[in-house]
Amino acid sequence: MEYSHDTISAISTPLGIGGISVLRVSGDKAINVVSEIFKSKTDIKNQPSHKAIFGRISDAEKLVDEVIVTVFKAPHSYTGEEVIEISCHGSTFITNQILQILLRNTRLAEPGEFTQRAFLNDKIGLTQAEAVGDLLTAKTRISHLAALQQYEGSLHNRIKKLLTQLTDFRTQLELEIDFLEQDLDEIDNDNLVKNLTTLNRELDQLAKTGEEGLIIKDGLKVSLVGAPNVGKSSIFNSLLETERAIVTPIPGTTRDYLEEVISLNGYLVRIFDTAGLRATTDQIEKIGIKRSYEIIKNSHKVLFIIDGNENKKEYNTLSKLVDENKIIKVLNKSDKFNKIELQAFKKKGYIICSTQENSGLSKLKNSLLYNIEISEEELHAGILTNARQIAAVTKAAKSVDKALESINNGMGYEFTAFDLKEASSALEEIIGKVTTDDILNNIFANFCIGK
Amino acid sequence: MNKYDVIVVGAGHAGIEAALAAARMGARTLIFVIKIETIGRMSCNPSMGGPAKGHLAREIDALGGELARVADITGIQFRMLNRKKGPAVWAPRSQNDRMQYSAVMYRALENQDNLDVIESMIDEIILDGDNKTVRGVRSNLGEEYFAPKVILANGTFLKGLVHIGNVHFSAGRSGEPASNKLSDSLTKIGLKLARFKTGTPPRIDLRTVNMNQVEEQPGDENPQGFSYYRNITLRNDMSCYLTFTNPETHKIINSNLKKSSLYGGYISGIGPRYCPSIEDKVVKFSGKDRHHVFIEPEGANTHEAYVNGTSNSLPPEIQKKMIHSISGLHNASIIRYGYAIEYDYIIPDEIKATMETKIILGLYLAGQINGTSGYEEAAAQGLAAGINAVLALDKKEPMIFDRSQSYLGVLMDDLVTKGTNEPYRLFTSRAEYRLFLRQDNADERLMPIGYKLGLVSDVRWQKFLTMKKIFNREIKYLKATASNKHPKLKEPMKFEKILKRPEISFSDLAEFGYKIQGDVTEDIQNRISLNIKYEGYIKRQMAEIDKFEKMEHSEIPTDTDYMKIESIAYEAREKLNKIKPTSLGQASRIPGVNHIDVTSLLVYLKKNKKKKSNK
Repeated sequence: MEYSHDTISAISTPLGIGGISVLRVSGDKAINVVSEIFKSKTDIKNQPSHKAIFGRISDAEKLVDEVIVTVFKAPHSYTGEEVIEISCHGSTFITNQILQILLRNTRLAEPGEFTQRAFLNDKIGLTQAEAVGDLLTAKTRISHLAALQQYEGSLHNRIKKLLTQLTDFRTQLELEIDFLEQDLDEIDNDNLVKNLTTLNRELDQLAKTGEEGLIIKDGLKVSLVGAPNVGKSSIFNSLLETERAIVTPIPGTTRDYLEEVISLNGYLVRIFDTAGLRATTDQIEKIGIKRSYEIIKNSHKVLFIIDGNENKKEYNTLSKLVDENKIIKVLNKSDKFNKIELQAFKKKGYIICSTQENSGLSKLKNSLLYNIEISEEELHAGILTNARQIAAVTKAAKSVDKALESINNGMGYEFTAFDLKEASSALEEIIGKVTTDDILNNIFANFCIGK
Repeated sequence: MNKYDVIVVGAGHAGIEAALAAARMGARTLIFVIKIETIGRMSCNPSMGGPAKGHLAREIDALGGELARVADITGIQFRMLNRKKGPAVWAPRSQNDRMQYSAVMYRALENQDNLDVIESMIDEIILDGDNKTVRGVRSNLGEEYFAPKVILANGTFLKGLVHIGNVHFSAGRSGEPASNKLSDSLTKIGLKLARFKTGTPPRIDLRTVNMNQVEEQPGDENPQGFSYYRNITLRNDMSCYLTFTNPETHKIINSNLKKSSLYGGYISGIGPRYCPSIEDKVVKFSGKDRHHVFIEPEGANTHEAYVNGTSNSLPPEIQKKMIHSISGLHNASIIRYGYAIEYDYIIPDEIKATMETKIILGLYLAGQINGTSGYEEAAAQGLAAGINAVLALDKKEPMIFDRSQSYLGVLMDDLVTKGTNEPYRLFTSRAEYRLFLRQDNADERLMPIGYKLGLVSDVRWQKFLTMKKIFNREIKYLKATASNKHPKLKEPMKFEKILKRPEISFSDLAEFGYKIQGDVTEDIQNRISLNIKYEGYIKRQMAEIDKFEKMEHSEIPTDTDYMKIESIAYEAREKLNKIKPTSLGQASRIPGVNHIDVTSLLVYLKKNKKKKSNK
């Protein structure tokens, strides 16, 4: 069996009951295989590409479903091969029955195999292959836009530009090292340092988009901390009430905390109501608190909620656990205090609200996105959206740092060249110029079957 | 009678190393040369070394080659180039006495056991009945000589054609006959040939140079040679001279451009971009109003000097005018005129990393015949070919030089994997692992290999081991012992840490209470400093080498039929089929094979392996 030569098929929509389901068939035999089981007024073998045809799928003269079949002729298809998409009624039974019929003459696709073929047939680059995954799991407007941008290659172009600069610097250095007898102008050291510093800033900026990119993709994690009865749950609920709650993607396992997901200004926000950080002797509670620690540590923002008592002990524990600028101090039950008292809390940096009177909540919500929101401009320039990319850009930035250090220490240009080459390789890793077996395996394994 | 183990054709820099290595490894060896007096001739600069080439010269020495030893004996000036840069690209370079170099090399061949030298031109390769195995060679006198291994090291002699203005004549070098019939014999046995071009500048009488108008460049105060553990006293008493071309020079060249062979349309071969003729420099870099000209003495017993930077193929009267327009050379008398030469080379995808041809068993190619340029590049290939010919005779594993361990490996791998579309020269930037491949540690990298092959004498090997012992002893001491004897130190500090400071040199350690023992030579001091000061970089480089080795050891079965792997782009399949890489690492370096192709190859190999193991 030849590697990308056989014809594969799979269900492309999530399993379960929906309006419609889509099955995808890709490979040389795709059109033939489907034409055998598909009856319509026109023969799909003679149809032009990208045209939808209504008809029926039958199994040995027995009607299975009425469907729409779309033909994508090679190379103008997602995988670059002959592709057929069948839209059928969204019942698990019908969809599976059609798949069973298809599998008589095709092979079930492996996870991510459609995208792998698209990559191998040069239809998409590596960043784009990853973006497909993101596009398919995009849950909000911004994450959709980010994935789309990456898919269209804006990140690719942004990285390419940085690589071109690096290549220029490396060329200068190599010239100086290998062609000393050629009466060339010597490198302007100050200028090189200046340019590398600028490049470094650009890399840092790009790396920073990664944090935001991850937030866009996986959601902003907000945890609620506070003593019992300060009103954590009511804040939790009022955040949910005013914003559209989204069904959590995490399966319903037993939890010691509550998690709900909302969309805020186009951002996915995941809110965790934790068990808090206080010391306890109760065995079961201990486990719950241990989990709370984990959640709080991984949060982008932590709401520290009080109802008057500043609870310094718990705040100290918290500030040791997370960066203080991630902590948002909240005074709930503001209706219980007078103006002067409230003024004092405000001065100490508390956001004043009352779930009872429904006041101060929009301010609280805005504070969640403070320092997080990313401009559409930046989105269009291309941002990083996964850990692999962030690691690579951070590595590149670090290498450029070392290059600057080597110049400042007067190490010799071959060391600077070494650092810059390392930076180049890191960036090449993102756009798939140099790639390893492992990276590819990871990318393709992270796709669900049929996508 | 005429039966040998190894026959070498050509006694230039490649042929010499091939023949000496083979004979030293115990093979009965015969070397042919067209003219005895031209053994080991430096046909271009009277100089060895420079960036990458100096590294290569030291590697050849560490492996037991001859070039470095003779360069040291016959050197008249030594300089370490790139001193202002870091230690990885410091590059030793020498000026040499051209005549003496040839003479000493001839003596080395004469005195070598197991080696015969014959002056004769070889016209033909003799094959076995199957046309796939070499049997020997036939001379222009009709004599036949037999050996199971034949190494061709013909340099620029294959259909060599010299050009000076509109005059063209057949020659392998100026004044020496070309080898015209051998090319046809090689084509007949199925090898693919193509044509390159190179050139050489005029030589002048040093006594006619106005020394007041040129800048003297003496050798280094502490000269360093190429060779390890031989204690050769370096003669370092002659200078080079620097001058420049000027707008007048460029005007002469421009207005006579059509008279040069190159611009008159007489030359079709491709020349090296890194070593342009003066015509090319003036035309392609018209913005520059001057170019370097180095006057290099040709030897201690002659007044002849090489005018580096003025390589050309202009008619004699224009060459004279051009030279006379250069500052300091207004009255210079020309002894030899410059010329361009075109010659056949064999496209290097015909050879394997052992230098053996892919289609004829036992036939090896080494040196300029493979499309390279430079004495050191040629010698390196000769050495590799000689070693591998004997290893094959003895039915032993081949010696493949790896690009993470030596410049030799970089050169060999570039040639057989990437090929070349201009005369190939080594540069330090071609070496990915440059920080490790230094001129100071070639012995540590390669001497164990040379010794194991029987090419390094016991005396030198013992000296090497002693050096290592002292080095390790001192490193251990510096890492373990702290200084507390210096007013600048607030608390005791390890000597290693003190030496890491950029402003501290090894000898400064004495102030901190470190006693430099008598056997810690300056060379060892330098090695220690370098290893400690650049430890971070060296470690990072080593990590990269580890990664590289993994890809190199990811072997591709020799029976892989690339044309059948349809997931690889057709052009890439053709390339892979031609080169037949031995590892995924090598496959990934083939131009025209991109990462997608390599991924597809990887996927194919994995699936195939699975399929095989399922059966």
